[in-house]
Amino acid sequence: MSPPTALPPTYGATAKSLHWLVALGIVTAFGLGWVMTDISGITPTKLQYYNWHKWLGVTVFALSLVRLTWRTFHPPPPLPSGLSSFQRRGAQAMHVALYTATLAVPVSGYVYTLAAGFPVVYLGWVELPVFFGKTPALIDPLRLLHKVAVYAMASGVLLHAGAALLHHFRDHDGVLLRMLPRFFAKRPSQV
Amino acid sequence: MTPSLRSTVSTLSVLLALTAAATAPAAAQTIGPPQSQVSVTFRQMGVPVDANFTKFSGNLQYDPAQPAAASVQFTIDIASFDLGSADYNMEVLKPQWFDAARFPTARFASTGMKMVSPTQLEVTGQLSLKGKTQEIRFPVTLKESGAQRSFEGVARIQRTAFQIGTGEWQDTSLVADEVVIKVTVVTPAAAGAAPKKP
Repeated sequence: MSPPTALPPTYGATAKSLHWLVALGIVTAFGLGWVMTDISGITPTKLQYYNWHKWLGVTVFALSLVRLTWRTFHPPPPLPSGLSSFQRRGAQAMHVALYTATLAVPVSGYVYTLAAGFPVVYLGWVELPVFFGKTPALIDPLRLLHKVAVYAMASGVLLHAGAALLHHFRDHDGVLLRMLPRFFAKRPSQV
Repeated sequence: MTPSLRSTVSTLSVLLALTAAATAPAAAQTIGPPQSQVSVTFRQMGVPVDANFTKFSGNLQYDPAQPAAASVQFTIDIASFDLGSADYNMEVLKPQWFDAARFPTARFASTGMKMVSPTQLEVTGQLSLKGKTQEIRFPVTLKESGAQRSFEGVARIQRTAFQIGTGEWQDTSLVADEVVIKVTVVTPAAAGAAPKKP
């Protein structure tokens, strides 16, 4: 029996859970946003989707603040050695961009819905702050801003996921495993 | 303008104003937008949504010496509902909601007034909406500022009592049953006052 080999350093359970919760929230909100904006007219389903979309956005925003706070006190594990400085700087920049997006996209949606005169009542229960009332002149510019921010974030998410898969399947450097549950991380050592 | 001419002009305008007050029908006042406003607030999944009716007309008979003798009538053009979104504006005219094609107007006529305090009236009246008529009672706050007098009424109705929102929209957990109607009537403070004898 070999002594338990030191697993490569990974993110903690809290950081992992938060990451995947935010990922799930983003993907779901994106999907809802895609579908709901295609429903013509006003239907009960459309109202529900819009509200769920907004609640998810608020949730992603709040979880992102929690993540940033958590990260401040629990620095992420070091990157594997052997990464080029290009990769290190790219990873750094992408993480800054994604954290910014997880905050900026919900904020852009929030101000858009305020301008349109539909304040957010979280879970149909908690009335969130109305910083300004219905402002018709801002509706179109803010819708565009939300859309641009969303597509920028979607591009970032695709690059982020693509890079993780490249690290895993091409470089075999364990970068993806740092963010997966331990269950996955043990597998390679058993092979 | 010479001082004497100015004083002639001002004397003339005072005379004109007095004549107008004396010949105006006592205490009858036509009301309508934009000075006056009719708005509604409803909640969808907890979210308060405001809309207003941009076309309506009405009459107010009000004598500050006898507030309890006041009366008011309103006719509201349903198709003028404006929520600030074309989709919503079209949706509410459909048969499930206002059915504007069959019921193009809503009406309110007061049947009673009670002075609750020097600044508050309690108005009772008949509201006709989508072919249904119900008695409603609501408080009206009186405000006088400078040359203006305003009446602010807030009435709460149940939309299902008027069959507003039927079929797939019946569900009050989606669109709440209670709808708050806010009516603001602004008139010149002088009008409606008993004309003073010169």
